[in-house]
Amino acid sequence: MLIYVARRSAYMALIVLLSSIAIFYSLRFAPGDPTGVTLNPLTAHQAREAYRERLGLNRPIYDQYFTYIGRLVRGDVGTSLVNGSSNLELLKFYGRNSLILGLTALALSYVIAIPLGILAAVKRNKWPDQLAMGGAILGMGIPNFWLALILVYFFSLNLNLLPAAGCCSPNQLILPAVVLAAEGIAVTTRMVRSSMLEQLRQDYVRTLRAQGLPEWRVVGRHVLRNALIPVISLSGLRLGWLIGYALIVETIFRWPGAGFLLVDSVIRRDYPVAQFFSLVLVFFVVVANWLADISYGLANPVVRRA
Amino acid sequence: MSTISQRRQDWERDVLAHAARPSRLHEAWQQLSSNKLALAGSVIVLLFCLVAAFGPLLAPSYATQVLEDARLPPLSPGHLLGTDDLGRDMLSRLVLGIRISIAVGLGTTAISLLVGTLAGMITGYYRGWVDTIVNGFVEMVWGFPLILIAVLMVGALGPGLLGVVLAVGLINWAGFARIIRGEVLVLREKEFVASARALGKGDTVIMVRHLLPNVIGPALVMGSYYVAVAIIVEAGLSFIGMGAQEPLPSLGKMVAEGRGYMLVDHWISTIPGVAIVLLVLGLNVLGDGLRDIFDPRLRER
Amino acid sequence: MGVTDVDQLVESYLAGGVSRRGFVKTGIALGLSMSALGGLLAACSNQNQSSQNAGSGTPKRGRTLREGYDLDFSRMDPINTTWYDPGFFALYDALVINDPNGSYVPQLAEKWSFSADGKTATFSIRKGAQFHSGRPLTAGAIKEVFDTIAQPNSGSPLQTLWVGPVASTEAPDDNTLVIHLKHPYYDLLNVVKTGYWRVVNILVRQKLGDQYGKQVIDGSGPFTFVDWVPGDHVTVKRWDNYPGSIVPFFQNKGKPYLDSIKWIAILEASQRAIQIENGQIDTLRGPAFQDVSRLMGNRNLNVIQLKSDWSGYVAGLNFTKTNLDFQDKRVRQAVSYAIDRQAIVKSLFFSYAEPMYGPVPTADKYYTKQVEQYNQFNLNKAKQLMSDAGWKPGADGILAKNGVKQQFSMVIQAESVNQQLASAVQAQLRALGMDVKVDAYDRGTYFNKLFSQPDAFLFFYQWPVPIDVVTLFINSAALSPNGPNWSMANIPEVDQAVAAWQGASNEKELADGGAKIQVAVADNLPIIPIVARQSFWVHRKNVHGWMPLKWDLYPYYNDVWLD
Repeated sequence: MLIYVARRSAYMALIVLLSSIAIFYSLRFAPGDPTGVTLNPLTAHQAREAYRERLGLNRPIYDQYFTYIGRLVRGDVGTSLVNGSSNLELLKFYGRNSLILGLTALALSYVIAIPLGILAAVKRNKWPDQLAMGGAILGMGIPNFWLALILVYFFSLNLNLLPAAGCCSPNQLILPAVVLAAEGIAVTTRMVRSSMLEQLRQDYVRTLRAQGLPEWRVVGRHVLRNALIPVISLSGLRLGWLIGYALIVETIFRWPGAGFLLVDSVIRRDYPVAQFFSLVLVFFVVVANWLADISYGLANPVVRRA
Repeated sequence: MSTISQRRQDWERDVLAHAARPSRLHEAWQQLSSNKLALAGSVIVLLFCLVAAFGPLLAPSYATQVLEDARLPPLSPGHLLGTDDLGRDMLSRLVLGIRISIAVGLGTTAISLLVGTLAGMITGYYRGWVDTIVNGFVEMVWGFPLILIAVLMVGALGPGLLGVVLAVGLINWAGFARIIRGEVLVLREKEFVASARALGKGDTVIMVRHLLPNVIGPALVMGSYYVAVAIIVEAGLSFIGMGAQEPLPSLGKMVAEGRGYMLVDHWISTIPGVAIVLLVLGLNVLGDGLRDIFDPRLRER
Repeated sequence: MGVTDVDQLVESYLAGGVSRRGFVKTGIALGLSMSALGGLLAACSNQNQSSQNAGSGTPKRGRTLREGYDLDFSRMDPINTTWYDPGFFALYDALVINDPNGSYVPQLAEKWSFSADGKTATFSIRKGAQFHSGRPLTAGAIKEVFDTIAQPNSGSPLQTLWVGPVASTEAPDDNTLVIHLKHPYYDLLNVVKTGYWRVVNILVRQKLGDQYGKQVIDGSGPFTFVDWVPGDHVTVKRWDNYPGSIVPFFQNKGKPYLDSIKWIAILEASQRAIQIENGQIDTLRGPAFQDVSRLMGNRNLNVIQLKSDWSGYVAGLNFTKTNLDFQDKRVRQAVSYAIDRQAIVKSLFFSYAEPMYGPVPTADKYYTKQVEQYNQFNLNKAKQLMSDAGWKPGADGILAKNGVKQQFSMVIQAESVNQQLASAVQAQLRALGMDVKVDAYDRGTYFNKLFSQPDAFLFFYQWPVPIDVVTLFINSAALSPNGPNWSMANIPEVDQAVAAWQGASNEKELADGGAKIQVAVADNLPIIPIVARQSFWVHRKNVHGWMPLKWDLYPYYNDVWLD
């Protein structure tokens, strides 16, 4: 087992390293550089060149990369060219906000999707099922920025129940979390339903029923637990996906999260921040994948023996 | 890659597949309803495709601006769906937007399908080092920020749909690769592959003749979902200004352009928004139906 | 009927010199319609209320002003900033500033004078000024700032505007600042009043280098810096050691009433109006134009409408693209005549803008009406000009000459108003027979592309003295990539006009130089002006003393207090 963990970790480290090279080079190949945004565009040519020199941007790219890695190894993760904050501070602030938003959206989607999925599976092909499935398909189709605008229109402007934007009070979290959760609810509902139906077909269910166990016991105790395993095991991936695609929601609701910062830093060519957060994203996804694998293995002893 | 994750993927696939398989008791009725699904989905998608193909003949004036007629509501004389913020006919733009969104969706999915299927087949069939390397690549791509690739593409190719299509296609192939790989891993253990190898057939022949036809099913199923995903992602990129350039509309771009007017002239955003929802709905339903049709054939249990 | 006549009428009405009835009578005599009068009176009462707000009730100390802002923030370093934010007016002081009437008044300089030959400007610096760090703000400290700006590597966008006329800066004693000029430069006051010339503690700035203005700020304004979260907000708090202000029109000459100010960047246009309607912010700059009428009808809000926000949307054609004949004045004029500015103003800006026939908005002190003879919409004239230049329409309607088609790309910034405007221009040029491809780029790439010889471009400038920034775009001494003359324009008449403006030794010569520049630009079109938008400021009724000024980009915060 230990060998497996070691090998897997080395593999993950390699992926992150290769990704860092790809990210580094991509940023420098893209046209434009920090001078376009951090300096006034009307600045004289010499000042721009002087700034580029100070940042080392005229050196060959591999040379810049080695400097970057050297600093990284020594613990210097870089500071923003825009506002001077260290990347760790930024991660703490923006990352925390993203996690809050992502976890809330995830929790919301489970709280709504799991009961819905169970209902749909149990009442298969009757109207609750059709309604749930219809709603799920709808949820997968609505563009999140459109949903966001509609919700703001109703809940913020017309009813004045919720704030339209900002961070970080619980009130301000509601609308963005709902919008972010919408797609997740749809997908999770379908998945729970499928999983439940799969379980309900198994032999052990027939056995339990034959033993005289009440239906709710059969479903609630045994079927449910097995059915939820794949759903939960994918939650890591779901969270990663949520955080990555939360950008638009973060922009509309002015929720300062890592998704927004990543896109903004790439557009601004804030190299240190863009590199750092891109790497964090890659790292996150790789680890989430791994955790999903592990949790699956833990949940299903049969597989572990293989 | 570890057996654990491979097994997990297998199980995911099984869960999804079994869920749709008709049970022995209600087989006839299930057959009908799953066909209905595919039917409904196809009809919707077909309608959209027809609009996209022939629409421009009926409503050709997507770029004609009449600034004086800006923001006319639907059912105004001469403009069935009203006009947008620059006085352009919404119906014409909707038709062209549908066309462009479908093209973007098909384009990106074609790229992802091609690259992903290739990668999936090679890794699933050969396993070993090839598998590990390509899988590592897949994981890298999976986590790579889309915005970075989009900016790179736009910078290299100039702004426009081509850059967006390439960017989204180059990220999405990873999903295809994983699924196809899973399929191939199962298929290669089957008898017909073993017998083909025993007969001395080369790897390529086996992959093309025997594996590919069986793999196309799940690929198509995924494809229909991914077209929907691509349309929404392109809409998102239009939101930050990357995507179709003036005066071309894509559905996402139209919604993004109209968002400032949601409180006053909402149809500018709502009409393309509803179109996106319906189109994606149709694609998802079609995907469900396709899955119902294809998967039972593969399950020889 | 002159714009200035109405302006004067409004000013006297506001100052109380003319009664409401007198206003209506004079207004009719000046030729205003009843609806226009009604609109004016409504706008006046809005302005009246806010100036009344300054005086009504006893100012209360405390609380935080939450101000909504329509852009993202930039580095708080006057010398190196991308644009200057409202924060600058709270954190830094300038030598002189404008009062509500547009006259120069003291802020750091108590009085000033120009020598008879116009080549020496002497400023008497007030006593008692100091930086937040405690260092006394002497003339020497100001000299350090100006000397830094003069260095070519300093990054100041106005380095060229300074180094041209200024020979040297001296500080013979702590309270006297002397600027020696190579030639008379009356525009000096226009330059030193802007945010880019606000006085920063150079010693601290040097020590921190590129890091200055991000986490640490050392200015002399009534507030000190607290924090900056890019994309979200900037916070400042009251400076307890503020020595007070000598600005005549500030009612509060001591420490500010507010505990702190928080500027919030609201980049989504639709969100701005919503947030002030919901009370999530107290004041707002720049709501979306389509929300303005709704805001005006809101009882809890006051909307202040200023004629200009000192900005302009301009287009440019690259003179070096000789295959398209962009060096030919007729072609440039044709493009300009083909643009229907009035229609754009009405539809895209809800009439809250004005067509620009010359490079500066009508509200500018130096605006000359002579530009109105140029660039009026006339599609036939445009077609005729192109025909005269040898361009004939092909079968597809696109103009062609010697096998070359009028097809080119226009670089724009990927931002919604820019895109709408580019779209409108694209369609209007199509009617002329030009096939324009619009290339929208994100911020990082946009400026890079501007310096890479684009065929054409669309640019938005914002500057309190528009003529100064316009000279940078049209001066042949500032050709790209050494300067922002992205049109690569090289027109002697324009250069001479710029020299006249920069060599002005008194107010009259400055006005004349300004007029020359405007006419030269309107006629020769090194850049093609399109529209200038109005400025809207909104505040909730419990905000007092908050007065956005006509003459600069932001209000001052010394007098602001919240109920």
